[in-house]
Amino acid sequence: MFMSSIWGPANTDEEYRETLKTRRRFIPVLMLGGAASIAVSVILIRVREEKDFVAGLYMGLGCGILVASIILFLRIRSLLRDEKKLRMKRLQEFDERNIQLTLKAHNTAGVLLIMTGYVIMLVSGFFSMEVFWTAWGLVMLYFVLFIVGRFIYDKRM
Amino acid sequence: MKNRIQELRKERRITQSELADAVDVTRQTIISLENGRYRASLVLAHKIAQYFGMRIEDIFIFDLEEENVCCLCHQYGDPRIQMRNTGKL
Repeated sequence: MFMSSIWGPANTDEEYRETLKTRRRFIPVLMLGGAASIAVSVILIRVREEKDFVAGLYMGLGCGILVASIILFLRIRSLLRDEKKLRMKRLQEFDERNIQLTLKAHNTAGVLLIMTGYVIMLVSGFFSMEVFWTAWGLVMLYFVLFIVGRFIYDKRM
Repeated sequence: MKNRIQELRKERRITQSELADAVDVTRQTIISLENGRYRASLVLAHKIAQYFGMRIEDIFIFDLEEENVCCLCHQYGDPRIQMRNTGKL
């Protein structure tokens, strides 16, 4: 769903095939990200000489990204080899109702995230200024991105 | 907005899957359209109309009151809009 919102709609199977090939080109970048997380985790374990929470988290994230990118690679390969599967997947991914659903879900998630950030900002002011400034930064970042997004799409539509 | 998709589909003995396949959407979208839970985009409405060999307005029934454009028919006095609004068309 996230990927379909990045790599625009594919109206034909041929267009979708190209979209999948473009996605496949980004898999090494994903794998590199996963490997980097694992490397940082190994360095942390060696430097600190103990397996702390952050090192474990990085290791888990790295392994997760690596496995996900391998699964993605295999799935794309399977789709590119099977016309029927490719068409089914394209219809599922770029079906206009599914796109609307994704956009609505993004919208709801964004609004709820901002509301949560605002509540955290209000509560954290009592006990932790670090948490307060983090929440404040996130809320402000959201509004800045929102305004920039509106400006860009206003020019396009 | 109401539509006649289910009626036309049953008339022509076409399954939801066949229609979905022909207009490049999922079966779930056709189900939602038929139930009135989802409004088709202009492109999809056009594809459906082409599939049935009809005009868009013959398949998708524009409810003037629901769309809040009732004032337009009084303002511009379009007899077709007035007739459709009173159920004479």
